[in-house]
Amino acid sequence: MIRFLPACFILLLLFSCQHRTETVIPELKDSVVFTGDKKDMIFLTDRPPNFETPLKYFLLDFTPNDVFFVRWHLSGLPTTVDEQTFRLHISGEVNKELSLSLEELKSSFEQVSVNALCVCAGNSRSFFDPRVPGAQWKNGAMGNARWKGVKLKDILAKAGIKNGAVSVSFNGLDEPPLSSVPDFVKSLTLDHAMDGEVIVAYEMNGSPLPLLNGFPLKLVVPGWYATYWVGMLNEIKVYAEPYKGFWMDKAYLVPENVSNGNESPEALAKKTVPISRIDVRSLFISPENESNIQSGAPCTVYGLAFDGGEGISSVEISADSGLSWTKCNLNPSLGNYSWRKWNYTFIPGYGKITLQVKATNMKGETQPSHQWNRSGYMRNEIEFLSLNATE
Amino acid sequence: MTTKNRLLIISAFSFLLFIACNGVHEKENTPAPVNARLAMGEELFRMHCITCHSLHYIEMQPDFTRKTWEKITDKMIKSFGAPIPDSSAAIIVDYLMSVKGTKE
Repeated sequence: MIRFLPACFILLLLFSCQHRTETVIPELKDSVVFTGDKKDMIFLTDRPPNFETPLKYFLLDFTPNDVFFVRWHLSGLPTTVDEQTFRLHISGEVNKELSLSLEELKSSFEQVSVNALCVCAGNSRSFFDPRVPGAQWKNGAMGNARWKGVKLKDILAKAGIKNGAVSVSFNGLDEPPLSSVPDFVKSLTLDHAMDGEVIVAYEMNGSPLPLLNGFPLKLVVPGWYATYWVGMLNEIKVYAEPYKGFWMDKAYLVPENVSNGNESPEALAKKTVPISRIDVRSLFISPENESNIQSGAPCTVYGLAFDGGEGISSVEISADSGLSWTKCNLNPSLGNYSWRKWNYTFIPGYGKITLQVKATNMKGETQPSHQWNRSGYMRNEIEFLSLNATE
Repeated sequence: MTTKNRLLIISAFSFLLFIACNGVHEKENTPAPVNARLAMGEELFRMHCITCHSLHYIEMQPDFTRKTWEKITDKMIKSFGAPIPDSSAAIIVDYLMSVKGTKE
């Protein structure tokens, strides 16, 4: 009988899992669940898994791996990846196809590190007005990490790029559950892939990537939205023509040549292009919205700001509906692709206080007072923070 | 214990588990169907939609209009090849409206 206990356990698990996915729906607002090698996440969906990071963790310079946001499109997701048999394949318009083990990747190339913010294109989608369909993220679909890996340029150079090649595609181990669902494949131009900044990472914050963040390899595209940061990366292909595919041509599109991806429901942009660089944005982290603070005592507001790599030049606060703006203190830069922490101390009077925050980057780009687009991407509308000062 | 006996015990155990799980399911977690069409819509959702995504994808959305849910269902069929016949799509939209639809 003992020999059959594992079988009984599997049966039990099978039934209890089936039971859970079909019937028990966790409360959605701020529902925190246990999620594999993750803890303390805000639950969005289970199949495929999508979880966001509670805002309080953004007080840290780097977002811990076990609370780093999780975003997958396809439910055919491996639950384990064997480090010994895993291979990264490089093919297409190359002189020599490669099939690299993790060991080869770590030992035959220069190892590099970069601090970079990974932010979902649809982060903060739930704040768009009118609301738009899609994963209903609050502000937690982002995280800052120190990524370690190998330059994509070096891997491609080892394979040898053929003359006339113009684009490169990236595919991971996640698979469509139906053959009719387009596999999640993203692409970059060859020039971008060869710029020396894009890396194939095997570590984040000094540890192997968590499975749900793309173990064992993740493409890191500093300054660009996370849709390009393909996880469980195992296939790189080089093409003689621009890559065509659903996830580049039909999804993740934004209005062409419009700052902050802005359009209006009444006048949708006629031409759209694949989303690319992260636009400039600032957020409040602490205190929480609608907090009570003490009147007459210094109050420090903490937040962060970021852009697509130009670097943040200033973050300003307004307490009078945008009539006047005061500069915040900026923490030392962690690198232009990282977020930049800021803080602002003031002595509150009595009653309700409404603050706004606005960042500007080195190119002079700043945030709009209103922003909307049909897919809920690139959210960077100027934020408000309401506080109540009491005795 | 013979192999036959072991199998018998496992089968009995599994059967009891199955009864237990489904019992809880019926009594505690499934709201009584508002009408037969919505019950059918829920069944069709389970049949055609959860292959790719769970009901949480619907639950997390704000209340949308029928037009928006029709557009979303159409996208699932045309862009993602959801194997949903036209006759079923309308019933699924009714069900989606019952979960996250604006008041009509």
